[in-house]
Formats: sequence, C-alpha cells, structure tokens
Amino acid sequence: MLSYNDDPKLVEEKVMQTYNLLKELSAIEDFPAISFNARRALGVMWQVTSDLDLEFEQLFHLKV
Amino acid sequence: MKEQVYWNPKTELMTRESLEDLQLRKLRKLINWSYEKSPLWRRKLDNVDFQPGDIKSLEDLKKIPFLTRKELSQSQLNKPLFGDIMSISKESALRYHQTSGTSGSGPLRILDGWKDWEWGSEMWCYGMYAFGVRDNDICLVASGYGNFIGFWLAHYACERIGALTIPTGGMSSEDRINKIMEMEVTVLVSTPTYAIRLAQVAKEMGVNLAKDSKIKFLLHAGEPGASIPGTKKMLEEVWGAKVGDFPGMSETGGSTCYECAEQSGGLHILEDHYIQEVIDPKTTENLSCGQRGELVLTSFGRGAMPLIRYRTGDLVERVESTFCSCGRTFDLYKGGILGRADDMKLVKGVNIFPSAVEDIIREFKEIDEFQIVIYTEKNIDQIKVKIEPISEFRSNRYQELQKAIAEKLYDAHRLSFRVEIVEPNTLPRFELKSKRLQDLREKI
Repeated sequence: MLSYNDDPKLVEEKVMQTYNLLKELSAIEDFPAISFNARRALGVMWQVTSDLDLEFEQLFHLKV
Repeated sequence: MKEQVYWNPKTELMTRESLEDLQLRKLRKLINWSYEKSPLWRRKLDNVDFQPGDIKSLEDLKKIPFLTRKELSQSQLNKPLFGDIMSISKESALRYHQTSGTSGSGPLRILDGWKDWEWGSEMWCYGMYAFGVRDNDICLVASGYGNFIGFWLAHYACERIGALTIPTGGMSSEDRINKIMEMEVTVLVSTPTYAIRLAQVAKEMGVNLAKDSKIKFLLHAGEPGASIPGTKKMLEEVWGAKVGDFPGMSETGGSTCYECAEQSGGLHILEDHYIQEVIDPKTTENLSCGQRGELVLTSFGRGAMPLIRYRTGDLVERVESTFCSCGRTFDLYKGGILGRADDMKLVKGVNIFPSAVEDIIREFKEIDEFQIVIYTEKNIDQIKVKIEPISEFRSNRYQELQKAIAEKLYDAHRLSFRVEIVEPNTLPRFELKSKRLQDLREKI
C-alpha cells in the first residue's frame, strides 16, 4: 500500500500523473460525460497539486 | 492506520524558509496571470510602473498598490456587472455569489471557476480537520444557502472530509433542533449568533442541548463571536461542546485562518494559500508580530477574481507559530479577528468596539439578548446597552443586574454606559449575522 511518509516522491509523482491525465481528459471535445466529469475531478485534483506545492497554474482554458 | 492531526502536514509543518519560498513562487505566477488577464490589475500595476518580472522577493509585494472594497464596488458600478477585475468572462465561470452587504457599500458580485470553488472548501478542510472533524461525524449546516457564499463552502468541506452532511436551508429553528436530536448530529456549522438563537429555541422546546444532544463541535464563521471569550464560554456551556472560529470573507472565497484542537487562543493563518500582511490602517506601514493592525490579503486561490493586497478592514494581532503548541508552523492571529476598523465607534473620545462590549455582556448568564445604542442627548454623545434578561430572571433583581453591568462596562472603558433592562422577547433575534449596534447619531 502506498504511504506518503514512506515514499513522498513516489506519491507526488502519482499525483502529477493523475493531474496531467485529467487535463488531457478535460480537453476532450466530443464526449461530454468524459470531459465534464474530468473537469470536476481536475478542479479537485488541483487542490492536491497546490497543497503539495507541485503545480500552481490557472486552468480556465479547460473550463476548470 | 495512525490518526492524522494535520490536513496537509507537508505545508502545515513547513519551515519558515520553505514556506516563504513557496509563497514567492505562487506570487510570481499570480502576478503574471493578473497582469495578463485582469484589466484592473494591468492598469493598477502600469500606474506604478510595476512589471510582473519585478517580483524578486516577497518584499517586492509591498510595491504593489492596495486593493480596496470601495475600488471593487466602484469598478462594478462603472462596468456592470462584474467590473474589470475579472480575469475570465461570466460564460467561463461556474458559480455566482455575492457578499452579504453588511459592510455598508452594497453587495459585491463574485464569480468562481471549478478550481476556485473547490479551493474555497479546501480552505475550510484545513480548519475543520485541525479542530477534530472526521469522516464519522454528522454535520448539520444551519444556513439559508442562497446567494451569500457563507456556509456553502463549509458544507462541501464537511462532505470532502467524508462526514455525513445535512443541509437545512429553509428549515425553522425548531425543525433544526429536532433534526439535531433525531440524527444525533455531532457538528453544528453556523454563525455564533445563530447558535445562541438555536440554544434559546431548544430551551423553549425543553431540550437541554448540553445534556441531551450529541453535539461536540460548533464551527463558527461570519462574525467574530467564537473568538470573543465571553461568547465562546457561553456557547460552550449551553451546547456542552468545543467552539471553534473559522473566519473568512466572500471576497477571499474561503477561510483565511482557523482554530486548531489545542485552542491556544489564536487562529492559524493559512500561509500556504495566502500572503497575509498586517498594516497600520492610517499610515499603511507594515507592522510586526505583536502589533495590532488591519489585515491585508493576497489570495492564491482566486484566479477568476485575483485578490492582491486586499484591505479587509479586519483588525488582527499576528503572533508567531510558537504561540500554539500544536506543531504547525503557520503564524496565528491572537484572539482571532478583533473587530473591524469601521466597527469602532468614538463616544466622548473613547474608542468603543462592539466585540469588547459583547465580551463583557456575555459574562452575565442572566442575559438572553442585548443591543448597543449610541445617540446624542443635548449635543453630547451617549451610549446605552439594552439588556433582555432570561425569562426566569426575577424583576426584583433588575436593579442589581443593571448596576453590575454598568460597573463592568465602566471599568473596561472608563466611560459611563446607561443600562436599560427590557422585557423578555422584545429585542430582535438574528439567524445569520447580528446587528446589535445602532448608531443613531448618523441619522441626525
């Protein structure tokens, strides 16, 4: 099982992978159920990247 | 699994150096974004010949002009509906809210996108988790919801923590008390004023909240009451619960500071998501720890409406993180929000803060409700406190109560207050923010 305390770098890598994946899914234009749910999830995931000081950017171009 | 105490141990336990490094990186990006996208910020920065690249250290923030509420209101008047501060169009936004309008300059319209909106509830999570709210709690949010951002964010924070969350918009106070008992609610989210009101209603219904309910935490925002010692103590007693203060404002979107389970008497500043300065409200010079002044906020959470060096009007006294023993490295505001610069009244040359008067009044358990009235008599300013005792309090003891209150108020202010006892259930009750001060001088 993943543990932040045991391996913060690995957990943070996974956070960034998820975040970047959600950005890709949010940009899909031809399947609303994917992009709109991904945008909501991305809005939440942004909190994690900002909390962990991994990424801090605006996402309005993705409607997030 | 080991019980966690911190919502975000990475930043809540960060060294000062790392924290400032984080703030600097976020600040650079925020200034870049604001300069590019917000016409108001481009104009303000151009006016002082400041370019985004000029941010070399946190000290450089001081070169950026303050943003005021008046400026925001004026901007929305000049360019309806949202003024020229917004970095996005309303079509790109997700959420519309407006301020409560209690500051006197009319409501301010606010837009948020998805991440800004989620950020607001994330800020509440830091505080709720620090205070002890967990996923096995049952939270009742006593709010009318609506346009006022108030407790919407707290609602979503309760859900984010995994607690069972009960929205009670449109419910009467009696219905809310019944729901608290029926659902075995453990956390109440409300203004302090409304928690007092609910306690009064419970008493009328024959419910002893301290004995019979499962409430263990009261989470308060919207007013300074939960950091006013007398009010806090009174609430703790009638509810038999811990009372926490989680101030924020509609302009910032989320909580700005929070009380942790240690209850040191201070509120931790969310330093990883804001830069919070304290200035002398008259000279605008930055003040050091231990000096009381006006809170100025730069928010990293609001991208749609960039808030940089916003003069809140709130008075605070910043102290270092060691003031609290919880281990967090975030500095604190000793005594919470101490009042608003524009709340202060001058009577016969004495500064009167309504929160200081409230603190004294709440020491008297015989008092159910009160009102402060400032007026002019024969061209001289006078201050009167109307006191409504609890119904069980005998009228033959009114004079004794009057004298005791007048003495306490005099000792604290070196100013004579008139004290008038009124019949039970005559003063107004409040369900959101209280309006217990009437300054009749302004109407003359």
